[in-house]
Amino acid sequence: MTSRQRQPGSMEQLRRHNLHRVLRSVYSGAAESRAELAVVTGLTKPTVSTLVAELLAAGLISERGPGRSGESGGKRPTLLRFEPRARQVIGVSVVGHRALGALSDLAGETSALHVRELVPEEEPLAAGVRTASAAVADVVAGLMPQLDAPLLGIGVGLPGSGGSPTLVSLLKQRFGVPVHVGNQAELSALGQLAFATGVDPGATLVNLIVDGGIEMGVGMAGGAVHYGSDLGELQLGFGEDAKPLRERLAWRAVRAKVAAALAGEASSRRSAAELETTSPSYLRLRGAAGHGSEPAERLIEELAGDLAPVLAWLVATVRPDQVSIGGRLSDLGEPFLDRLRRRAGHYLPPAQLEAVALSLAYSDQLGAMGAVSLVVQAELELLAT
Amino acid sequence: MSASIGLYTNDRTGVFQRSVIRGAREILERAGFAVEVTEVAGRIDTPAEASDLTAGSLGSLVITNVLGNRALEALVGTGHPLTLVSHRAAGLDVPTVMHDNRQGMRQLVEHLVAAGRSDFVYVGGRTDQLDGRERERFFKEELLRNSIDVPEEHFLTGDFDPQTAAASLRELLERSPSKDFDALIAADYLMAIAALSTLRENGVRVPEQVSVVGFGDGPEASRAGLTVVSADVVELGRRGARQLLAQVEGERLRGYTVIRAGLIVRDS
Repeated sequence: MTSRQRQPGSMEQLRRHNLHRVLRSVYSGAAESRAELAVVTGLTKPTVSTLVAELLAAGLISERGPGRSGESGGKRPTLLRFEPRARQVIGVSVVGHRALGALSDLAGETSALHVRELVPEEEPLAAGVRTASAAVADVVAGLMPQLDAPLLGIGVGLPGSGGSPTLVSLLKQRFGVPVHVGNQAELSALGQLAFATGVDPGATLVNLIVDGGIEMGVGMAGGAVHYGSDLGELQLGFGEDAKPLRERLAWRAVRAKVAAALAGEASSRRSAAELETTSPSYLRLRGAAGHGSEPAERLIEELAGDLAPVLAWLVATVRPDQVSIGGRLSDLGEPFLDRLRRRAGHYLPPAQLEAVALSLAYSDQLGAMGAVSLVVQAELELLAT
Repeated sequence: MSASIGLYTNDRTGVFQRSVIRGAREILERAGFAVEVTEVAGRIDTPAEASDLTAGSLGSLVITNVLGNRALEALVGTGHPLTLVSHRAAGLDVPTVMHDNRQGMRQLVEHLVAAGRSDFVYVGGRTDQLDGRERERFFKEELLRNSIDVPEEHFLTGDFDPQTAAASLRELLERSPSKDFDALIAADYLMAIAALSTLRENGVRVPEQVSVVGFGDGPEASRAGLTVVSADVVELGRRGARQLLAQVEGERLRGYTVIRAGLIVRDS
């Protein structure tokens, strides 16, 4: 490493690294003056002063007046403050049948969302797009007029494990900012660690998205480490029962079953609170089960049974503090989590399961916020440990 | 004379419309455009009427549903820059700004559920307007999500009109003197304030017996101590104007922009 630091690129990298260490220390509250920054980062005071001047010029930090002088008296230090509104980030996630973008500041405060419907294969719509890439570009374009600060970058969470070099170069070229792409479940885990309330930021969190596919995302150490994967092809069962997860849990495979379970429901009972829509959904399935429909109950139990081995396997291998279920399936709600926990108990000792908090991640905004977090992390290294 | 942008509304004096116009005007005039507000009686439905209405303007901001689908389709066809405020045209790809009704309604229901409330009354908005339809739909979704049943007679007509809301509620109170509900959600805050007064006039203690919440916020809600999700309508106007300006400058936009609503807990 030492020999490489002489290269100009590495000098620049080092300077950038130090700049981000200084920014991170102000951001996290570890230091609030130049003197404290020198102590916390181990950099010399002149170096700290130069870096602070650069961050002040960029607007990322500001001076907020004098603090108290130290024990030995002397000049009162000028206090520094992180400026989350100095830059904005656009995070986009593609979940189910729509692309959703969030325009956020550096602290995760969103000022606007933009939504672009994709055409679901089973429900053709006049207003919609067929490809996720086009929808992502539309969403970013839709948020550009709403910018209140310079755009730091664009983050995108996509289904599947593979990246999308075409999308990255398309967005870079059109919008002229850095673009970062990750798996949507991974970014949803990251979004929860970085910005969601009620989530311990130091926790290890697994996010399972069950919607058009089955994806897993893991975030560790406050999101500093994260990865994601597509579980759709994972075979469960043996012999004649062997079937990939996609065929058990992806919406395309389940939709007809939900419709069948709801078929008797529509005619038997219509309360005012029911949804006008007649298309099958997990929310309606849950409502039917709540009203005692046996087919609905059976189907929910079957889905819990199909997801249980995945949960057990994740708990055993990753040992997370929290597992959240996102995507369309999360509409089945708390009663589904209880069943899932019970069914997972067939595969794991109770103590191992009890240590894990199960939760629902209803919002597809989490993926977009994770994409925001990905950009902040990559461009400013605010989340690094 | 500077180039002008058209703003179309059914009622320029309404609280909602006035606020949208104020926000939009602020952005458009700062960008150097003249703003012409036109009050449309009834609804513009034919392509010819739409073309007459927008003649000479560089772009149009349409507040709620004053232009019908055929009129909108014709304008889209000519490439006329167009932004809809709190309205979506089914099957047409017209850029829109609107409030996050789903998230707002979720926050209201979750707030009430967390306070231990389970017997709801809903005062609806106008069903010919997107906000009225969406808020009711998302309210129902939240009921399903929270396994709460609401009897049909607890869905009251409000039409975004405080007097209509109060009358519907009085009727309910007369019908069921036992007051078998402990929470009331109104699709806008002015109806919620009317409900608040009506309940108190009838000897119902708020919030001890019934919690009252509403969608949107204004000085009246603050004075009444009403818990709301704030939907900043002036900001909606500003965001709409920015979306329209981007199109006037040649951007082709698709999809809809959603402005967040935040829960403000007060005393109701």
